[in-house]
Amino acid sequence: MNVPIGKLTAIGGGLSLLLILLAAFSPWIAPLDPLDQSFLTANQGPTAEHWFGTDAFGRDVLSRVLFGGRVSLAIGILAPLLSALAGIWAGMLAGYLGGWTDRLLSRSSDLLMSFPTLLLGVMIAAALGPSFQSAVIAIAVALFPRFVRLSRSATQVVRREPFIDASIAAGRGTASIVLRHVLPNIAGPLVVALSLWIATAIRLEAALSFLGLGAQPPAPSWGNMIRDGMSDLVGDPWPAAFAGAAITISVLAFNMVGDALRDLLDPETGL
Amino acid sequence: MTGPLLSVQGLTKHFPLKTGQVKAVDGVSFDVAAGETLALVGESGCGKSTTGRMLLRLTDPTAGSIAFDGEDFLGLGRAALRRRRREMQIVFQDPYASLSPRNRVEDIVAEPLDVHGLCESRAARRERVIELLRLVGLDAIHLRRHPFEFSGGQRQRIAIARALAPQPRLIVADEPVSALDVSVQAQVVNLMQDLQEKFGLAYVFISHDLAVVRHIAHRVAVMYLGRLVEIGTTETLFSAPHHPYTQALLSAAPVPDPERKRTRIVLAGDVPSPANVPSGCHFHPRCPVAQAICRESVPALRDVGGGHRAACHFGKPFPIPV
Repeated sequence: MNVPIGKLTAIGGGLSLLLILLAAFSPWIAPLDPLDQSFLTANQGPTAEHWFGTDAFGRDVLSRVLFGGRVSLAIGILAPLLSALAGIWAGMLAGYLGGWTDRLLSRSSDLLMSFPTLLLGVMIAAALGPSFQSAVIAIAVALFPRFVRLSRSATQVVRREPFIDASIAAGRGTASIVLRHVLPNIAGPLVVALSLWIATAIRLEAALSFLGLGAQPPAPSWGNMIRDGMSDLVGDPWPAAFAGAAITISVLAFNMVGDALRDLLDPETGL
Repeated sequence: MTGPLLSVQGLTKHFPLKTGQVKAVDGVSFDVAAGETLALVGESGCGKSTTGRMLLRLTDPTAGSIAFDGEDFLGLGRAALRRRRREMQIVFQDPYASLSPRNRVEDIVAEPLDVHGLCESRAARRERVIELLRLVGLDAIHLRRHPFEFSGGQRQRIAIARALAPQPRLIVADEPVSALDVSVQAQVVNLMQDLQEKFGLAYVFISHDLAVVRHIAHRVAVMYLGRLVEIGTTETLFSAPHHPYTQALLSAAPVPDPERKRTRIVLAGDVPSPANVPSGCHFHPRCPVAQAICRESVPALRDVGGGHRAACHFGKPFPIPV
């Protein structure tokens, strides 16, 4: 049982780390400036000079995929982290305190949940105007109710455990109990969810950029590379294909991390 | 100090339902003296655990009063309540659930010390935890382990060490040995008795196991459907039970002596739902000696001699028809 988990963790974790490093160090790794246009070399397939080919403006696709990864992964990781930070606390408060706090927080996240995630993201990004920040905010808000719901239900389970009563009897205050006892005991499933929703956020970012609501051209992101590539998919499929492959691989990698963590974080088998 | 350590008057807990309410605990009164063990016995659902939780304000009573060391415990503000909680601790039934699975033994046992700022340095804290572990028969090698590495009996010892940490005067033990193997039960019960002698602890010992109760309790209070039906010293209550329910309860306990003749009183029917309690004496529909008055009026807890009190209109050890 340990072997497949270990392999999955190693592959998923290694791949995720590699993607993040490639994106982070893209200015040093990328062979060319991702914004450099050259009409002489437009719409080329892979060549010795341009490994991933060039797009309609003659820009190097490899460099654009690397630089695009900065935007896509930054949004894909930052947005769920922000969302988790807010959502986990809100969920713990709702789950622990119950009563009107719970009703208020649960009903407002239900309200957000009633929109399809992508539609909600599109609405928020459109309202805020397309930019890097609004993509982060849109995705963070879209994922927020999921974190609230997950942390609320996990908190409700932990709250009924006698060790919480023992802690109250010991004289610990509510805030301290939530921090010291509830959070560590619900962290496992939340970390798993976080890595799975990073994968979701990468897809959402791609979708927003594809719709023109993410990072703005000429700055590359995987989503807007697909969008640009769509106009001539038959003549030059390479930009869209490589950007799409980058999205697929990232989503796969973070999903693998999530699945592996799910097994690893079981308090009695792992850690 | 002359008064009782803990004095409970008319303690009541009603849980609201969509229609009506569950009278989990209905006007329970008793005292616990310093250094004494009072056992609360009764069947599942009779309200004994709820009573135990109310003693520590883990559940808020609907009505009634609790005085700890002569001070009104229910009226305490947040800060005063925290200070008081040092003096009363709890041990739960399920030693698997009462210890946080993520924490190490050192931090679990030290929790009350940390909360009340009872240790000045990490070294002092560790020393105190080791001292507590040794008191309950564990050792310093267990400090860095997690709860899942222990057996049920060892975990209950950890829970007892935690309860002892702030040097309480009263420990509410809610079925502390019911989840343990019989051989381990005896060890834990004996440990609790040793600790009582050593520190002059008072216990409110909640249990349904009459053999254990007889062994550990100085006094016994019997509950039925949220009310106290009889309270007295262990000796008198076991030898001369005055309430028919107590008699039936005692007769149902297995006696490990094949020579002794047993007359088992089998009660008719089931315990009524606490959401729909009988009028008058809660026990009257199942009582083998019930009369008309039992349906109409609630019997008070009356002294039947030497502080032994029973809530029965007839208040004497009857011969119950078998």
